Parts: sequence; structure tokens; C-alpha cells
Amino acid sequence: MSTHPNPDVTAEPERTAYEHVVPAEGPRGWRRVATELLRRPVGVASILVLLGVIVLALFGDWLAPYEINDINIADRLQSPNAQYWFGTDELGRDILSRVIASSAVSVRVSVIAVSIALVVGVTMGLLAGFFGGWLDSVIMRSQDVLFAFPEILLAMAIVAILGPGVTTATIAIGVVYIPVFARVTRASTLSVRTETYVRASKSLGAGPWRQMTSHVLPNISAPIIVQTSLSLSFAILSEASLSFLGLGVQPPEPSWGRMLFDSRAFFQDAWWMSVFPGLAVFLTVLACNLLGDILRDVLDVRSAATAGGGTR
Amino acid sequence: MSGALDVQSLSVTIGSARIVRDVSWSVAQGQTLGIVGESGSGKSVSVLSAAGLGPGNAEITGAVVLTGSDGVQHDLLSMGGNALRRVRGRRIGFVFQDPATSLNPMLTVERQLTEGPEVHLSMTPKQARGRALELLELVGIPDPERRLKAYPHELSGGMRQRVMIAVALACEPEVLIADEATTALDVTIQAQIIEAIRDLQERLGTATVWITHDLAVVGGIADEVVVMYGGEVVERAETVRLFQETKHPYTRALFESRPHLGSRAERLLSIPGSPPDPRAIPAGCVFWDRCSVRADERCRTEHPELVEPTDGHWVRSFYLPEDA
Repeated sequence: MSTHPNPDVTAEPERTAYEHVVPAEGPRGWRRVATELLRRPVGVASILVLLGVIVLALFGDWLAPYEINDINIADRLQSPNAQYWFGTDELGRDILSRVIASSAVSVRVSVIAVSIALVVGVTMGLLAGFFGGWLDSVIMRSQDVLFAFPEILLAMAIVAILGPGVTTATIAIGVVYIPVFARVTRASTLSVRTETYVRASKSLGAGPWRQMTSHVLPNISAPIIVQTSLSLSFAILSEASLSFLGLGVQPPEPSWGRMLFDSRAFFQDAWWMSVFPGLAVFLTVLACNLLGDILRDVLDVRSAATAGGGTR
Repeated sequence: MSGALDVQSLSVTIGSARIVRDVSWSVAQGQTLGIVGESGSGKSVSVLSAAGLGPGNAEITGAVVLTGSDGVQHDLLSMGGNALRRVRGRRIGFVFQDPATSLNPMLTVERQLTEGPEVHLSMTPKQARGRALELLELVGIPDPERRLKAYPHELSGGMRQRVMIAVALACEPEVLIADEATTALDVTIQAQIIEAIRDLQERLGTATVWITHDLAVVGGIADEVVVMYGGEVVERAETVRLFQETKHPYTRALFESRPHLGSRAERLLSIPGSPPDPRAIPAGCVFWDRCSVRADERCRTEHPELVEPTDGHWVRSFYLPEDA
């Protein structure tokens, strides 16, 4: 900005180049983010995939062609055909129906788990970064301890303590991802809390709580949103892993991880048993990751102004 | 002596660094006080510390009393955090140097303007919005309806500083503190901002403390000027007096080092040397090693007191122009 003449927009009749660079009446806020997202093919694709998963999760009962636990020994281990699009498993259950039903479990577990991690982690990181001192040390050292364990090992340990099941798997995954959020939030808070506008808000009577919630938090929302998107994909993977190990979703309820586990014995004869649940995990996780990457580019107000050809 | 803001023998110490020593000034309702000094003279620290915004580990002594328009006196230094928070923004407003960084880039102009009134004056969001519109008009921003929805990066530097002034004045504080408020702006915008503040001051009766290193700005706006050097007040007088009968060698040197329109000097005069290290304040006069009139041992060994040779004109020097 300093190298650039800065036309004062107060001079109304004189429309300067500036007005074209940053249109004063463009879409703003969430509308702008949405527009930017939809301009990118990859963004559109990931959103479509994720919307598809959500629709399947919500309306799977109506969309699935068969009852998920209908055993039909006569039609066991059928390869994909017109009747069973994704084939059947060793008990003659329809793979497509089970993949669809599993999406509900995956979405539920990962969304709740990431919400837990988000709320707890962001709160901790914000407090640690904003106040610093002993509070920072206590919070971050405790996070370091959690961080020191491999994620899946920690999740397994928590499930081992609480007992296997969907609820405990959700809690375990949530706890495992708290440190990531705490770290991202703390780092961003540290860089933002010394900004003049935070000081200015203090000079105008804002207490610590208000400074954190209305001045620090909005300015660090971008990395947190990106982290949320990325963590969702990891949470889906973790849920699949835990279920694969028999610590998450319990049979006969289907889950992508559980289906992969069940398919091991038939790996050489019935490829469809492992490929379709695997593909479901792969696509969902990929979409979450790509969306996270794109959000990273789109979410920054200032870089968005630059993307339009501006100079600031 | 009672004004909107009274500062009595304020001292700020951080560890062994005595950053501000025995500073007193006061500013009355509707008046403007200019605090002038070079970087490191303690001018910002003294004012920010008075409002509890100084460095966290600073030790502050003295008295800072703010008198509200309702006559209630607030002793800022003895106040707790919550009470101080209710004073800041409500009774003292701040405008900082760089409007590009002092506005929150993620919030709209409207949100930044409504926060104060909602918190301090318990306005409903609707009332606060009305107030925000009023404020933008007050500081001279055209098309306020549209600007309310703008983000700071969509405004020019001058407009941003106007918004910042509007934010600072949102609750009609008794005192406005402008910390180098025009330093980051170019000269024409600077003049507009000064004009805007002066105009508002007349209308609202706000007492203004204007911290700057620019004597020209002070000459144009202040009623009284305090010159600070090395953490002390070295001269204090009404603006006209100070400009016409400059007494302290430091103030005179400041005037001499200004460029003059029309006369193209080969080189601009400067004051050789740099201000004293606040951790090792000399025993004698703080300006001793850079002073052009220093005469004898007395300057080096004895600390001059702030004296009042003529009524209302305070100087901290052994050698005044009359004697020289």
C-alpha cells in the first residue's frame, strides 16, 4: 500500500481505478466465500461428494435398495450385477445398502468427534495463547502429552478404558484431535493478540473475554475452519480404523471399517466386498481434504482482494 | 487546578528502566494539550500508562484523575480492572497511529462502531446502528449507509482514520487521546483529519491529548504544549507562548531542526546524539550531552527543577535565553 498512490474515495465524482479493483458492491462475507468456492471445479466436486454423503447419511433408509441385515444365502457372494449393483457378501447381504447405511455412522461419529475437538481445543488454545504465562504452560504441556501418542493408539487406549462401541469411539476420536486444534488456535492467537486492533479494543473498554471472542477469534477463524475440514477426514479414517479393529461400530450395524474387516477372508474371491467400502472412505476423505485446501485459499479476506487482480 | 484529565507526578518504571519521571499536566474540557518529543521520550508510555494500557510489568506511581462531565472523579491509577474497563471507551477514547492496523480487518465498520455503545451505553443493536450512522456522518464520511457494510480494507487511509475517530468518540468520552493519529497519513489527509477532530471537539466539548513529534501539528491544534525529553517534562506553556518565547535549549533545537519553506538549507540541522538510556539516567540535566548552551559542571552534576520563570511557562533548565 505504501508504494501505491492511495486515492481517497471521498472524492466522489472522480471514479478511480481503485473502484474497479475492489468493487464496493461485491458479494461479502459468506456469500463471497461461496462464490469463490463455486468458481473452482475441484471445490464444486468436493462439495458435491460431501453433499452426496450427507444425503445418503440422512435419507439412506429410503434410498437403500435392500434391508441391510436381510440374509439371503441363495444370493451369497454375488459379483456386481443388475440386481445387486455392488454385489453381495458372504451372507447374501447387499453391499450397496450396507455402504449407504455406513455413511450415516461415519458422518455422525466424525462430526460429533470433531465438534468435541473443536470446542475444547479452540477454547484451550485461545486461553493459552491469549493469557500466556503459567496457564499457557499448563494447557500446552498437557496437550503435548496427548500429542506424544500415535493417534490410533491413544484412541484405542481410550476405547479400552471406556469399552468398545460407537459412543466411546466418538469420544475417543474427539479427545485425540483436541491437541491439533489447541495448537493451531494458540499459534494464531499469539500472532493476532499483539495486533493494534486488539490493543485498540482494549483501549475502548473491552475485557479479556470480549477481546478474545469478538476480536481475536474472527481473525483466526480461517485456519480453524481449514483444520476442521482436514480433521473431519482424519476422523472418518479413525472411525474406520477403530471399527476395523472391532473397537468402534459393533456388528451387525454396518460401518465402512467393519465391512473392510469382514472382507479380508474373501479378498481373493470377492473383490467387491473390499473395494466399495474402501472407495467410500477414500472419496469422502479426499473430498474433505480438497475442500480444506480450497477453503484455505478462499477464506482470507485480504488475499481474496488480491485474487481479483488488486494490489493489496 | 482541575481539568477533564489531571496527571500529577506520574512515574513509570520497568525493572531498572525509569521510563517516565515526575510528569504532570492537565487538560480541561474542550481544550487540546499537545505532548511533543522525539521517539523514546516517554510521551506515549506516560499517556498509555495513565489509562492502564502501558506495559504489563510497569510500576506506576503518581495520580491520574479523570473528571466526568457529571462531575464524578475517577482515580485511574487506583482503579481495579473492571472499573477501569468501564472508563476506557466510555470516558477516554483512543486513536492510534496506523488506521490500517487499529481497525479489526475481519469486522465491518458497523460492528466496530456498535460495539462500544452496546457495551458501555447498553444500547440495543438497533439503537447502536442508528448511533453508528450518526457517527459516520459526524466524522464526515460520505454515503454512511454503504460504508457501514464495508470492511476496513475497502476504505482509504483517511477514511479508516475517520472511522477510528468515530469508534473512539462513539460513547462521547470526556477525553480523546490521539497517539500520533496523523503520522501515518499523507499531509493533505492529515490536515483533513486535524480539521475533523477540531470540529468535533468544538461540538462535543471533548478534551484532547495530542501526542506527536510534529511541532507543526501541535502549533495548529493545541492550546497548551508539553515538551518531553528523556522521560521528563522539559518545557510546558501555552502554544503561542511556547512558539514565541521558546526557553528550553531542547525546544529551541527542535524548532531549529525544522525545515523552513522557501529557504533551501544545504543540510537540515539536527540535534547530535540520542536520548539517554532510561536504565542509566544521568545525575545532572538529561539533555546535558546534547545541549548547545551547556556551560559548566552544574549542568552535569545537578538536576534542574521544573521552574516557572514567567507565569504559566514552565522550564527545566539552568540557562534560560535571558541569562545567555
